[in-house]
Amino acid sequence: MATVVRSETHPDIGSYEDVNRDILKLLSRPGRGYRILLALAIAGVIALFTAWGLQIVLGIGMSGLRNPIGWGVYITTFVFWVGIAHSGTLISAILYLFRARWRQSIYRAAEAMTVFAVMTAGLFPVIHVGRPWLAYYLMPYPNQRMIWPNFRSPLVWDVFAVGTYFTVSATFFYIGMIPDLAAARDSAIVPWRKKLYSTLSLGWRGTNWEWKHFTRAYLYLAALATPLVLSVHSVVSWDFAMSLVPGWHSTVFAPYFVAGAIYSGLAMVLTLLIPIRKIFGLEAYFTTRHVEQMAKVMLLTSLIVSYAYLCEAFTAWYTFEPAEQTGGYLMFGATGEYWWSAWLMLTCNAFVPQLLWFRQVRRSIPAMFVITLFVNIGMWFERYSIIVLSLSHEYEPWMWNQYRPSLTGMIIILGSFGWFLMWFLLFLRVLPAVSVAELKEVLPPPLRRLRAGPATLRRPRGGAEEVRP
Amino acid sequence: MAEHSGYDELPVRRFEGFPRGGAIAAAVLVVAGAIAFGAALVVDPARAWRAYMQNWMFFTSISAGAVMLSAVVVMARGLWSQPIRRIALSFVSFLPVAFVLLIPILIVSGTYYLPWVHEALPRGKELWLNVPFVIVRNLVLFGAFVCVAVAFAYWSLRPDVAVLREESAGVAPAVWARFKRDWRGAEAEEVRASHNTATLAPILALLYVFSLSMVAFDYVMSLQPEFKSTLIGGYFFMGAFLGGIAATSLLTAIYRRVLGLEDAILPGNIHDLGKLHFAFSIFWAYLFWAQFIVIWYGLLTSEQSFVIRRFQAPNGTIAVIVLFCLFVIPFFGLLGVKPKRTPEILAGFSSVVLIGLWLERWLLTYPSWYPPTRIWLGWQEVGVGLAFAGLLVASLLWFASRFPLLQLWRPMAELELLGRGEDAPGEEVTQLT
Repeated sequence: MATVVRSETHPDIGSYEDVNRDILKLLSRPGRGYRILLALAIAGVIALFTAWGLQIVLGIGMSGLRNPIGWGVYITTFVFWVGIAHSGTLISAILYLFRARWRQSIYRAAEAMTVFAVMTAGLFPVIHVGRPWLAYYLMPYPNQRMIWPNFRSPLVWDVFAVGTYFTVSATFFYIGMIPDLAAARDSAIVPWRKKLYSTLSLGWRGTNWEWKHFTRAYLYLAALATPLVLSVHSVVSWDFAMSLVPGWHSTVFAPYFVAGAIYSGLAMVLTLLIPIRKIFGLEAYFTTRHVEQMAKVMLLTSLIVSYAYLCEAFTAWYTFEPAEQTGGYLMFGATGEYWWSAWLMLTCNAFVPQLLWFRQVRRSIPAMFVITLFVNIGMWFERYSIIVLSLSHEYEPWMWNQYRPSLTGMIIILGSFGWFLMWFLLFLRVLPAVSVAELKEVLPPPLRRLRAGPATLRRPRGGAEEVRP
Repeated sequence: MAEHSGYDELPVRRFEGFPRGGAIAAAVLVVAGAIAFGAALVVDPARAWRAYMQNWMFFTSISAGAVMLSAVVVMARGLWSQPIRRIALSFVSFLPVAFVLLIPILIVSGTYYLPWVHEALPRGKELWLNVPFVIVRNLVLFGAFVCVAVAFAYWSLRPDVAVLREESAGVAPAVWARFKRDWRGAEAEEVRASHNTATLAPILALLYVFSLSMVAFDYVMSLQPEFKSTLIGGYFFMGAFLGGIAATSLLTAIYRRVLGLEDAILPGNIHDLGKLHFAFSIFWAYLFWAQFIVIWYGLLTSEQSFVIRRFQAPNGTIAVIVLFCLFVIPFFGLLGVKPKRTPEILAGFSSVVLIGLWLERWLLTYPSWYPPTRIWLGWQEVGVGLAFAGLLVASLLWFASRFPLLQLWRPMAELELLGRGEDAPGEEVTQLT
């Protein structure tokens, strides 16, 4: 019986040594391109904090928010980043449970993105409250003054949901990394790195006993993280759906937001990984097949989101409620003064991704890069449309108003990308960005001098006796 | 080709001829049901037709859901599902019957189902809420769904005809003639079938979503014309999908025992099916909750009336039973490994889910028609249900006596995955307790 000598998912990875060398190489001294990118990201962070500081000093009026549009680009961007955070757990937990064998080489980066995206999202409620020194009011803590909290407010649910999500995804991210941190420890030369990895790897030695508990823990965490993918964005959607603002009060919001979050998250993973693969020469690890599989999940989620648009527009018409029709972000959006926002959302999220039906498009890396940019933009404008359009056209016509994002708001949004990118770039250089241990599981084991050759099958034939660990 | 499938050494499993016992049972059910329907028509035609509607919704839902399961595993390339996908597909035999049974529903819609026929509608709304349009859109969408489902089934079955040709001498020649037409040889047929099923599966999924959403809009939502819920379509067809998984689990357990498929359908396969069952039970609860909490919190009279009618006494009793059958019992019951791996136990929970779904389809329709003075559930609903059950059993037996219940061939894309060394059916890589 022949043996697998080459992984078909990663045909260009030769052996276990290649994996260690290629992945741990990322942890060595960075090149110029990386430094420029990092400098840009840090510049973004400086801009973010400068603009925020000005807003604190001069007042929340700097944000451009005024009645009745109390929620503007900050909440839009908050929802956007929480959405981005979904892909990591989807890829690492749900695809793990579904035994999708193509996730190994990308899930670590996606998980890191999840953690950093939640960290970015977490800034925005604090920015939005205007007086950030009082932001601790959001936190669920016991107090005697009875000022906190209204448990019936979806905003409080949101604190719990996002907080739990951050805790679990950070734990999942860290636990999954332990064996790789040990690998990094063993090859680290720089003293501070050696020390860091030694501490973080918790004395991992890779014994059978350790692996046994590790795999169990990983499985249970995956099972725990899976419902969170659904719950977090459902709760975020209820920030809107619980209220009676036209266009917001809609039962489809929870599944629709979850699908949209996964959609935007995958788009962001691709937007980042496509250049990274090029810059760091990781073509062998992140292949066309990965792009294609993610494109398929994107197509599915795009169709779910499009179905939700249809249901929303239909129901707004069907109810014959004037407020729904004039204030709903779809019915009113398509024709009102914000038509550009609504159409941008529809074009980027519903129309352009229909190209993903074609295999050639799914397998073309430049095409996928462009499409994911469309989706990123479209998903931001989806949240913008939902928030701004509905708030600007509520029930009372004398209350109608227009909203224009201020310069401060725009700088803060752009700065948030810098903040996210800064963490991500630091992660690439400090922690192993690809799961060395899991990748090896799908690579052929190192047999004596058995090298490249055509892939053949190792599987026993037929419905043989089942294997149960 | 067959070297990867692993089933080349297994004999073709199907009923040799129409099994007598099953045929008699189906006939008895249909006759008893027809008598019940006739009696119900004499007593109260409105109630009889409403019982008919509820049962049509339930039996169509589970059949359509099961067929969707067989299409979903093609799209997702679920290697684990090889031994059960044909059993899921066998529900396609009921769909043409369901289409025929839909026609009377459409004819009596204006008389017995749609209350807005007698109401003054807001100007413009009659564009959507008018009986001819209701008939046309449901007929076209559901008809298209059934046609594509049959085409999908045809292409899934076709490559196996090669094996069957020798075995099937004298069995249903008319059916075989259709499958043998334009035969290009086993290899070429598998390539063709892979391509065609891969193309038809997503189309089928889209039609499933749209046709069942339309049923939900017209025969659930519009029964209370003031009510609106953007999720009603999604809630309805995902419930149907859960019903499809439950029906497949139940039928798998039965066929496995009756036809001796223990060597082909391994506990590992049952375990995977059980996990899916468990997951979609939770997903049903999620969708239920997503819809409920928005309505409950919103406190709008137009929406609340829908929920209140269903949760108020005496219908509330049914609502609680539904919640238990579709979520609480399967959730706690299927949490462990053993219930998911033991076909008989899984089938027990599937039966609970199916009963829950039958009651749920009742709950979606009846409270809109009748004031909540008593539980409108009696011999009429059960009796008409017998006729539908008989027709479903007859359709399934018809399928099982003609086609092999194990899919022998594998789509090209899955062979490719197997070549990569991914999980073979029944083999266990991860386990979720």
